[in-house]
Amino acid sequence: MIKVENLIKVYKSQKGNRSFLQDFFKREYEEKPALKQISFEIGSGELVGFIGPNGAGKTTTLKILAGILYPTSGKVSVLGHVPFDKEKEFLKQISFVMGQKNQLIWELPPRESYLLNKEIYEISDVAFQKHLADLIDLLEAKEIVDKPVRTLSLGQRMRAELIAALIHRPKVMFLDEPTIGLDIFAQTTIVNFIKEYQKQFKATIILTSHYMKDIASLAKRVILIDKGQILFDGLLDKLIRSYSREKTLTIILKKSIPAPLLEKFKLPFEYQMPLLKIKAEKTQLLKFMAQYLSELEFSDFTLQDEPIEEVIKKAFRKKP
Amino acid sequence: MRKILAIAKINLAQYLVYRLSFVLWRVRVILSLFLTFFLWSAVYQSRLSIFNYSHRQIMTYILLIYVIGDLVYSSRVSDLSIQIRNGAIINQLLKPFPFLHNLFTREVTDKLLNLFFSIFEVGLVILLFKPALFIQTDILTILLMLLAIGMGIVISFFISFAISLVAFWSAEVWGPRFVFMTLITVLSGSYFPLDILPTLFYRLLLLTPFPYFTYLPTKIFLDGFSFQYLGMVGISLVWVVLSYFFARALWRKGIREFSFFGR
Repeated sequence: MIKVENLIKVYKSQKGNRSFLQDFFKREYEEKPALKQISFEIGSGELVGFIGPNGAGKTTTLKILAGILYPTSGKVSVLGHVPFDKEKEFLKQISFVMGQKNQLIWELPPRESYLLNKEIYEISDVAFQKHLADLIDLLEAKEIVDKPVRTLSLGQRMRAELIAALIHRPKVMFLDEPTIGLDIFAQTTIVNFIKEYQKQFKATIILTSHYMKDIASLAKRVILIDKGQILFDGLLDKLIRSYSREKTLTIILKKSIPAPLLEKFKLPFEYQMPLLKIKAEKTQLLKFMAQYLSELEFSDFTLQDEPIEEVIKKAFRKKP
Repeated sequence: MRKILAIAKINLAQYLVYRLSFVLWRVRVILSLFLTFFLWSAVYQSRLSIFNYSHRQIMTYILLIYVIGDLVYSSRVSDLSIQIRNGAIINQLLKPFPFLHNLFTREVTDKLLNLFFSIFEVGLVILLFKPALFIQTDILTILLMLLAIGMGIVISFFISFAISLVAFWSAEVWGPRFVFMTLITVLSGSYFPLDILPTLFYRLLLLTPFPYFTYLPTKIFLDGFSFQYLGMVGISLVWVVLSYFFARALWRKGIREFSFFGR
């Protein structure tokens, strides 16, 4: 469905830090590699998360896959098409949603933009009505579609944008930061929607997000990108298993711990009445609990996995 | 066709939202029409004919070139450079409808709207001041004039398009556009007929695209069909082809090289 082989993209950018006169008469450019020979394949109906810091090359990859950017070298095939050729048949089957860029016409209600897309994408009346009703239903957007876009809140606008982007029911979707700047509720709505949409229509989806929670709740497979290279491509579970061996034990104490007992703890701990926190590998923690739990008076305790952000940070630093 | 209608409809709807801006803009344009009209009226107070133009001819010239100018000069294309700079163009590149068709459709809607208003405004001037006008009735002449207007529209569209594309490489689109607009103001004959200029200068001017925007069709209307004018329409065809290929080459290079970096 999507196949990328040895993809390279080099950006030419103006050299900074030069005087105005130098710049005016002889402007110099420098080449900045954005993608260094990346390869991957994505099958039909997969939902893959792209993870990486700003400037890692996530958006560049998506833009190349959608045919907006011209690759410096390498082979790219999406749905059997070369994206940059922008063939009509190709464009009718994809959608690119950018959290920071709107396609809706600012002054008019979203419905007007949908009607325009209906003609542009050659959607029949029946299909249009059905698609629109489905999307409005999934996104609970009934009140939104007939208000001018400029009067909508950011969260409402994102929902309206999604309808515009999916009204032609694309087979492949590129979602670039669809939840950027949204509050938790709006974020959840969007994430649930993507999940539901994919389940119902079996679309192939590539998603980028800075919110690890989004990725974790949507994608089974993730691709980690940094500085234009793929660091990891595989199941998110596997990534977590190989990078997250530590758990945090938190105990809410009833009575303070006597000093002699504290001295016996071999693991590093944080202790401030009434909390005792110990972060360590699972096996060590189990040992600790077996040894000391009976000696402590506590009202409650929890055992937590490392936050997924921490796991990803470690993966980028390449140390488990 | 349905696509074109849909785009046109949206374009009109957008204008309706900004009714006041649109009307005020028309007010600005109409002031310039009044200015030229009164200037030439004053010149003819004492004489019957200047530079071989009678009062009646020059009045017809001024009013007609005004209407034709509204048809020929593009208004929408200049937004394109902003869209390129801020990356908004991406959304249009993703649509399964050729970019240029979309732009041209919007352009034509604008023109029709402007035409409607400029005819109304010229009608107003005629009603108020009742200038003597020259009416052309020869069908062949009218056809040649329409052909020349069509050529003018296309040349102006592609040149303006090409200027907007400068945005792919530089933020300084304003400079080239300003020069182009200034040249148009002076060299396209909106304020005076170009053939009152010194012959050599006039001849040289005919090699540039400027006379073919509005001067040629207006002149055809006044003088009637002749093979000389047919030849000039031929030259404008050369400009159509040149500006098309130039704009197309620039466009292809632009979308290939541009990075939309961080946009």
